[in-house]
Amino acid sequence: MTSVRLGGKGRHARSAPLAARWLRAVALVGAALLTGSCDEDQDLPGDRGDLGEGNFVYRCLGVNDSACASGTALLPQVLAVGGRFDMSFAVSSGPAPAVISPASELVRRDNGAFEVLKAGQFALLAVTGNSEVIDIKHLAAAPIAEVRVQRDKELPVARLALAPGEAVTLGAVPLDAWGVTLGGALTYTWRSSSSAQVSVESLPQLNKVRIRANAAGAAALMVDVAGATFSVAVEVGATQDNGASASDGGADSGSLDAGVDAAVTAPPGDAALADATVDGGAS
Amino acid sequence: MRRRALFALLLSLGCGDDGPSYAGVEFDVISAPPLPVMIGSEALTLVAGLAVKVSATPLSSGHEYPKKTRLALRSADPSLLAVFASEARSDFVLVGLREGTTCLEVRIDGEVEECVPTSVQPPTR
Repeated sequence: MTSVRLGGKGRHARSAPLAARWLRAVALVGAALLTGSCDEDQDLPGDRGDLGEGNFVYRCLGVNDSACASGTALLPQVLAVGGRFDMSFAVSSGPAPAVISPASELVRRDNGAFEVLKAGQFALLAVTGNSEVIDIKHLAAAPIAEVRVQRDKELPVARLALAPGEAVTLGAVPLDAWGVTLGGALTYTWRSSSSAQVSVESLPQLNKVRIRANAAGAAALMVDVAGATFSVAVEVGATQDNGASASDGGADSGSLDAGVDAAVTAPPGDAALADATVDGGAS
Repeated sequence: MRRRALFALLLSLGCGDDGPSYAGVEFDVISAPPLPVMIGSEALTLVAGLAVKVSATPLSSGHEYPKKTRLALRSADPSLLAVFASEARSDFVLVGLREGTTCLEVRIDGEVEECVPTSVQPPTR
């Protein structure tokens, strides 16, 4: 090599840069091809696996998953303990590997879906028909610490104020202790602590509920989900500074401001509920 | 003649072969789990629920292991630690399943050479 460079003054001196140019051109073409294949992978739906062999695609089970509220299924930052979801693995070519959950104490496969059993981080594996792992995805799960309600595109709230006769449709937003919205389909059971003030009008298993304010006073909209009970305080006909005294049956129909919050409280006499209810005043 | 054959046999038995002699296994961590795990040739510490991909290479105190050597990793307690094969023969995915201690068997061409102590820590967020 050295002798060629030293000895080849004329022709070799010119041909070396030419070769370098050729090499550079080949490298550029190679890079373009590689970039092209990467773009192809980027076109895949879902989130890239830890090993970069393909994408994990989160799938909502029904409408009761807050991760799918916007109509598109995005991989939730944290899943709810008790939440159900499905996951597939997308590759740019070839047969799609199956997705399994080896840590069955944290998440198990049941009836064609994954169910989160415990809080913590866990891995899902994309495996081929030969049981070879080709990619890994780690997810996190946390227990529900609070349930807020959301009207249309408004921010989720922990308390509501309604005018007498007003009916609203609300969506449940489960949150963890850090205020992160939790993903995973959950079964909700709604009820009112006082149907004289607030009645539940819609099917109780969904994450959406339609309630109607009947008469002035305070009530709790209660929801059972993932083995715990949460409540949202509702003031009917309350003024802005009226607070949320569940025992305050006084009818103050002077305010019709439905956007005003009242305090979150556990319904009177329900000790079990008090444990599961997070004080919305902290938020 | 017979004495010479016997001598050759004894000589071959005494000297042994010049093949590889197992001296441990070296792990290279390929994936990055969200929480730190400890992967060493003498002990492993994993977290329940998490997976880590490693490449395993057998070490020899004599001649190197030939490329055709079959290295396999097996969990001594599959309820605590799961081991999955990967596309490359020397790569494996280790998954902590639940808290406890077990060991990871290292098999060379079907023979168990050692069992690396493995601790699985409880799941954390």
